[in-house]
Amino acid sequence: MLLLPFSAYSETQNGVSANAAANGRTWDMEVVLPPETGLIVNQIRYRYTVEKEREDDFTVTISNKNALGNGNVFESTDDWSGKSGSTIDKNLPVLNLPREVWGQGSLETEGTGEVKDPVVRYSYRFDDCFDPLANPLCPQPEEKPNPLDFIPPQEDPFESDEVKDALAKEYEEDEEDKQAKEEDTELTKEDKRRKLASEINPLMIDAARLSVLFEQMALKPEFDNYYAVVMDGKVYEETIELKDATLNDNRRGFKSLAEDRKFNEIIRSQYDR
Amino acid sequence: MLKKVLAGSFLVSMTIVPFSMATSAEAPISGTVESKCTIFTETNGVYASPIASQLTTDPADGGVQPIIRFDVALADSFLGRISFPTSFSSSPSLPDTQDFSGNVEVETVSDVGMADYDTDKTTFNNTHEYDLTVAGTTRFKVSSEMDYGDTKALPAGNYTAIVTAECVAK
Repeated sequence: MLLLPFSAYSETQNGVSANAAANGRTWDMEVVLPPETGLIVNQIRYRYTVEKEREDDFTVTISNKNALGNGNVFESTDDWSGKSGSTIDKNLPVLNLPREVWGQGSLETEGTGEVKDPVVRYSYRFDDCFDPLANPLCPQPEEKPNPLDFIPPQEDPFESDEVKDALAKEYEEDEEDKQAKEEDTELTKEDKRRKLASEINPLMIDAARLSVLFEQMALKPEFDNYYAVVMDGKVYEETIELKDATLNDNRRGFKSLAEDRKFNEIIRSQYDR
Repeated sequence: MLKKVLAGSFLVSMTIVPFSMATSAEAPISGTVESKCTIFTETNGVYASPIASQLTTDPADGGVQPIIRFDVALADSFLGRISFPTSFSSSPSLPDTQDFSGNVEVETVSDVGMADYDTDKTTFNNTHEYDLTVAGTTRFKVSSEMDYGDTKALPAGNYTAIVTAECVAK
């Protein structure tokens, strides 16, 4: 038997709203339905008790306006005319209509009679991972590809077999080589250094990596978030109290001052004659 | 030469007999009929004892009325018969008289056309018969009460009574 670790997250959530008619005969669907993105309403269940005389005409209509247009997105009328009063409990499926189209709901009556204890509930369903970034439990979209991953690995040309074979061969100078050697000696030291640097600088081999590195070095840190933070200030009140009633004079200090004064007098006496 | 002929006739008879045997086969025909009237007990009843000599399902006294749901898929084809209990199915020994009473009423309807079920029902003894003229769901609540003896205290123990509900094709 093979046991594999497995974890799953239920993405589709079903629910039923609270009684929309609990606080009156009209209700705001923005309050009744939860704010989840991608929510759809798939069923309405309502229940109420009618009190009326059998011979009276009486109709009860439960409806929701179309928030995105004219008319109603849902409407159910019960005609109690000529019927005894009773309690009706109805389940009505609706065509998975999105949350956005559900406008104000209402329970309206017409005729002689009374509706008591109305209960209107909306069954809904939503995909908890409609916006996966809002829920870390959902499968997250693939991360942005790193451009460095697309750069083919750079091979050191000196490690190739062709170069190794060529280097292994003994070098035989011919006339052209001798001429090139003479020209080479005519190059200045600076030219040689540049030529050498361009041949063996590994950074030049991986120019793309170097470019990314420079971009990272030039990245400007975003400190705006820190500037926007307001720290709670505080006033630090004086807590130390001097409990002594009087401060005694520092006799040693007086003596020192007296000595300084005498010293100054002696010094000045040389000039103030 | 004779022997050969006999032997030949024997062989012929052996080969013919199997083809002349009688055979038979059965071809079953099966079908399923979905129920057009189903009954569910949505809430079990509970007796409360507001006084020592009485058991009742009245919610005002702490009892619970059983709720029975009828789902009818075919309109005007069935009668719903519900009977409240007239005896306990299990109880301590009760030598004194037991006075059972009860009632059956429509709790909720799924269609306005069922609103007059209570008005139009037929009652005989402890049975209430409803003409299920509209397709849909109807819930019935049953009340039951039992007074024991002449205000005699009921003995301690468990008491169980049965409400019967049935769908009868018209």
